[in-house]
Amino acid sequence: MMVWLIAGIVLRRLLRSKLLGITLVIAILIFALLSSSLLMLRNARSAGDTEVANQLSANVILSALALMGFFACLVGLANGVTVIRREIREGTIFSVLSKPLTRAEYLLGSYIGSLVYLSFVWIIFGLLYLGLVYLTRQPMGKLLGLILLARWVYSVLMMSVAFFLALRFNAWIAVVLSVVVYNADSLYNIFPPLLRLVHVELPDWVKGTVLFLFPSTNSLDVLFESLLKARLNPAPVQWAFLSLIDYCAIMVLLAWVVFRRQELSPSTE
Amino acid sequence: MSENVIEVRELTKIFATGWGRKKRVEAVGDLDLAVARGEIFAFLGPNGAGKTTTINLLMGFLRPTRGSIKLFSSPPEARHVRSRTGFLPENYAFYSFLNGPQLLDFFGRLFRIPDRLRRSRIEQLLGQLDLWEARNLRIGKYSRGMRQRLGIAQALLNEPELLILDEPTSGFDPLGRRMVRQLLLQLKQRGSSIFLSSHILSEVEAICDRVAIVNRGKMVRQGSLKEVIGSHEGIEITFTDPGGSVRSQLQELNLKISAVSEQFMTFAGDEALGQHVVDAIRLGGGTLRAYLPVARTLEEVFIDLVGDQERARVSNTAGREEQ
Repeated sequence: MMVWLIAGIVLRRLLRSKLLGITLVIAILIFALLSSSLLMLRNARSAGDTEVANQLSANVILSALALMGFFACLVGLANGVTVIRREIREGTIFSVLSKPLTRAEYLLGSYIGSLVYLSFVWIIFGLLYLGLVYLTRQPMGKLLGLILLARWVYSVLMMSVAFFLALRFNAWIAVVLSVVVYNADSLYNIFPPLLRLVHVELPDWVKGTVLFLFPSTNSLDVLFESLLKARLNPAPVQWAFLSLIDYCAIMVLLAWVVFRRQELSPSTE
Repeated sequence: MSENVIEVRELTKIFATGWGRKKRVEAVGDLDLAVARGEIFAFLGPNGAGKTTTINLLMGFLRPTRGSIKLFSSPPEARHVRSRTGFLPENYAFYSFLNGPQLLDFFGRLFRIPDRLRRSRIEQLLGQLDLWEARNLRIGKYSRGMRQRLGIAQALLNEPELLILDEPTSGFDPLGRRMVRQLLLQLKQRGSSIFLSSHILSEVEAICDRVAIVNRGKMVRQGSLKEVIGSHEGIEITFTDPGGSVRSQLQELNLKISAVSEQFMTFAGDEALGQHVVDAIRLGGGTLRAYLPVARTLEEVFIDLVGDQERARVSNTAGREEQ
């Protein structure tokens, strides 16, 4: 009950911010950016060049997904970093936390509010995506929902990382660290060779555990690829989703560990 | 002896600041205080005395470095404590996109007040605090005084047994202050306890039962209003001192002297000391101009107590620097 009340007020605050308007503008910009490709596609179709037309339509869809994913990650990052910090800085948190609710309820409510907001952003992008699928006549109808879901998970992942780190570090450090953690693939690729230089070999179970707890975005790529290429092998897809949900849950748990004993004062900002 | 709603024992808060957080600043040191049920307790001190830090500790926003805090014999974060407490922060801020009734409704839901009761309380509080007319106005468009009234309304929403107010009248005009004063007295009559910090000492003097004065995080004086002010009743003595010998004699008695045009004024704490001062004036060749028994105001006592400490601190610092 308390969690939903907090989620509701956080969502209302976010919806009133300029971020949703900016998302709309971005959606229009993405459409404008792709308009020349769409024009070329129409010309190729009218010239009867099927191969070029197919290539162009795939490019439009992939570019749109990449751009939407990138901007949604930025929105997630901004949301994750600011959602609680802003309440502390502005002082609204003090009258809320003086009421009979626990910090865990407040934290979870703020997270859910941000999550729902991010979903609104994806609804806007989803509509744009639907429009592009219709215009390019891409045969992806069945996969549409899953592809968007995978991209939504990407941005939720970024938001969750930022949500935790912003409670522990100042805003800019949190932004930088979130990007580093989010792109942990490169770290996974760098560390084993470095350790090998000092003759240390990580056992497989260590790598496996670390990758399960903190999956690299590689697992998302695997998931996304398998969805896109319609090679829907249920086991890896389910595993990847489970792993990513667990990643978000760990981030919220870590955020709670920090927030439950955090000293709250406007001067801490 | 009535039950205490607030019990603070040896409360200390040290902040680590600076590069590497190596610099230690003691904001509150070994503070003891107790607030009994049904009393109005004023927590006074100059800027930077540690009042707001203490209030943040009482509300559980900060954690003590040492010592203990109990509200209703429980830790401040306990849900039943929060349900029975109303709080107005110093730098109150509310969601500016809501209007007054929406904000109070949100807080009322957090207090789990049933729908019908919540609605009637919101109407009653908005009426009582002159906010009913502005009920459709967004908080972002409220004036400072209106926001402060809304702050008081949200603190009273749960009919609290304990009200913690940080500078409750700072944004009010004299009419607003009188309204708050009457409201607090009504709450007291109803049996609520009120813990308030304020800089407007005449207001405090008019309503409070007990007072604590803090400076630099330490307790300077605590007691009933009568105890704190009563110990500072005395005699105001005005005199002339053409040769300066009266002043040097009075300084030996550790009396403070202030100059008023060509005359001087001192304050003797009791009749015997007053007589001693009169003798010194006569012997020193001065003339006694006035000898007035006075009851000091809380403001004068406050300035004396805090001023004495500050003077002692400055002279200690100067002494150390000379060494």
